[in-house]
Amino acid sequence: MTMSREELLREIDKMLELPSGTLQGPEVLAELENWDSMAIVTFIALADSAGSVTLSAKQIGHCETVGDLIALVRPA
Amino acid sequence: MQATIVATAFHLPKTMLTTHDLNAEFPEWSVAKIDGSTGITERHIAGEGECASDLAQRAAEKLFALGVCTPDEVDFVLFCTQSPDYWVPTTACLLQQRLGLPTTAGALDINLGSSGFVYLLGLAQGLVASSQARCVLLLTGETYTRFLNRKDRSVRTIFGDAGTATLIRAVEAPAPLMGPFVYGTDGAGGENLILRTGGARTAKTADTGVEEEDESGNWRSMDNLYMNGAEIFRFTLSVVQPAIQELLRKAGKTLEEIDVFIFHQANLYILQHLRKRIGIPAEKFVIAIEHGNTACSSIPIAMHRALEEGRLKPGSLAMLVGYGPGYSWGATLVRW
Repeated sequence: MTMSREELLREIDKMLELPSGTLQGPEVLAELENWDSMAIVTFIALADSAGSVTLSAKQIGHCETVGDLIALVRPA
Repeated sequence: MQATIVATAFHLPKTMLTTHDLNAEFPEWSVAKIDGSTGITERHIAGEGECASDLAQRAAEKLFALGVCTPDEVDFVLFCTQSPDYWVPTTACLLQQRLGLPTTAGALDINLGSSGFVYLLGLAQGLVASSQARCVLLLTGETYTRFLNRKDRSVRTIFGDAGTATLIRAVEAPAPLMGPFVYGTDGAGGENLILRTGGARTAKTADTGVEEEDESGNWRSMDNLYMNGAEIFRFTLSVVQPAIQELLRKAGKTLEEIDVFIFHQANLYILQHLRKRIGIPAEKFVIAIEHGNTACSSIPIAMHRALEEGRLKPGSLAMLVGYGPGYSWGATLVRW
């Protein structure tokens, strides 16, 4: 299953308990209230399902924005 | 002769830590949300002075009470724990005496976490197939909660203590009732689930007991169990599916031919993700996580539940998959 950038953004909205359509990409992860260790695990699962990519905690730790997360699953 | 599982029993300590208790202690933890994803509603906690071997002993006593075997029939006991009573002697030797097993029985401990039960089965099958033993008592026991920092949400919401006992007997059968086995090890992941002090490498000191807060707001010292949940999840995703494919290849079976799947009960979220990723129907997949992640005891507890619920029946073919600290993993098939 390959997800579009838009579909991934909506999944991250859901993951962080935000209204659908909230996130656009430039948002800084550290400033999002629900971005925590559970969210990291959830994103690893999402990347595995959506992009067949097995991400490490370190790769995710290097991301500063929502857009950086998406780039890990959908490289430009 | 072939090794077969005759019966299982388990024991949970009396003291419980419920979601409600954790919520009352740390309202800021959103424990209800965590429980929703972990599937854990209560964690049994070993009492003061209650050791992993005590939990395993109680489980073994329940097993003997079933009438499937008497202590004097056991000719080998294997105990899986990472919380032995002492460095010396071997805890399985003490359990021989406490359970009234014959002095002619062999006894040894194996130190593994959540992969341990598959390794116990592999060792038991080897002992039986090579005619070294005919009646093997497999014990598991763990008290990880003793190693947890009270203020570490990442582990305190997940782990519970338990002990189990499983009886293996030699029987006449035309084909193996257990196996093949697939094993795997990657020590490079050792630091992602670790208790750093108390072993021979690093002694406990005043310095190692100093607590620090991590970037997620969890507190621990070097004397506490540390788990990098994200890395453990990544490891699980990396190894479980290939191990299953290799097991099916060795057995000459397809996924559809397996009746029941019993994985290490790490947490509900990981189990459901693995199930969907591998393509296992929900009705064939055992979830028995309500008492928490009980490490090496989780597979035998889930097996016991599956037997109680009638999901495991005579003739059923079950796949058991364990994965845990080390990294260490293992998978096998068991015919009921």
